[in-house]
Amino acid sequence: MEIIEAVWEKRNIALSTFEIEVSENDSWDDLKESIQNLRFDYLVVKIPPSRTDLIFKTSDVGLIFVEQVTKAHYSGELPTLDSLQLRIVNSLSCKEMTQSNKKILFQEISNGLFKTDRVALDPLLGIEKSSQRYLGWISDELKAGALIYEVTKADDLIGFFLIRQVNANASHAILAGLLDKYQKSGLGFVLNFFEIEISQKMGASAVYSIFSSNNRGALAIHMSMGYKVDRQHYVYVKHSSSGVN
Amino acid sequence: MGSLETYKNAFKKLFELEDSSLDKLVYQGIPEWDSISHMELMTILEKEFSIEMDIDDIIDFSSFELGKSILAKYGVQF
Repeated sequence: MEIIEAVWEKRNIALSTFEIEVSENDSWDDLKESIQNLRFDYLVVKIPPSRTDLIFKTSDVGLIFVEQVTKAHYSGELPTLDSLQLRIVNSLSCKEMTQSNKKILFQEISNGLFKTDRVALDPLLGIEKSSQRYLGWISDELKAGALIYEVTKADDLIGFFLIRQVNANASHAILAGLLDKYQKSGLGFVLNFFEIEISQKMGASAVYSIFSSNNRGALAIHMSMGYKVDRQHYVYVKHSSSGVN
Repeated sequence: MGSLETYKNAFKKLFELEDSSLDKLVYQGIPEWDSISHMELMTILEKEFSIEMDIDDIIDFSSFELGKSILAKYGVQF
């Protein structure tokens, strides 16, 4: 079992937060004891779907299911696009994001770009806190060496993705999104395609990505591109206003 | 088959819908009309009507009703 004090969340959402990632072998007693011993405002517990023994007991300790998270990877040749997808990709540009487009993007995020995020959907947290969290997350990743790319149509910013090389062979596609104006355009696939293309140019043979069940479109696009599922977790949360749980 | 029937059939076959569901249909209004099936729909319509749509029109094609006015720009008469 891995227990992490998510210190960044204290800054991002002003809550003392812990994350617990449960393994295939951890016992219910260990999980329950860990939860009881932690002092938190916000707790996130990730459980493998195979652990139905734990899943059926989560309500005993006040855990609420919020999403399933899937970690997947893509490796191999660039995905083959059909003629329409190719026309679309060829009409767009992808390059490292300009400062002016960063301002546009950060404003869009502040306005609530990520609506299906578990923090945005949490009635005790909401979209404003979620937006602050995303901005903090992006800032941390950029400081850690991630690169942010823009996808544009002529001069219009359509979307972005954040990518970091984790080792000589792999990169992590950390975050991506279409701007609000383009969220019902069918263009989601271009972000995944460019993520893979840029990763391969960086020398990575595999691209890793994580997405939530709250974002059905992300699942459809990843599968259509040929990503393979590595791991899944059910994610539960608990709020504790007093720090006593 | 007239253009309207061809148009309706594209939606009905792809999304397994009846006629009565079409008029108010919008992108992401049903789970089946997601970004992947949107591209499939555009491909089907381009093939059925022998047209090649501008990327902006593909992006703007957000409903069954709006789609008719978009296709009309390419000479499709309903």
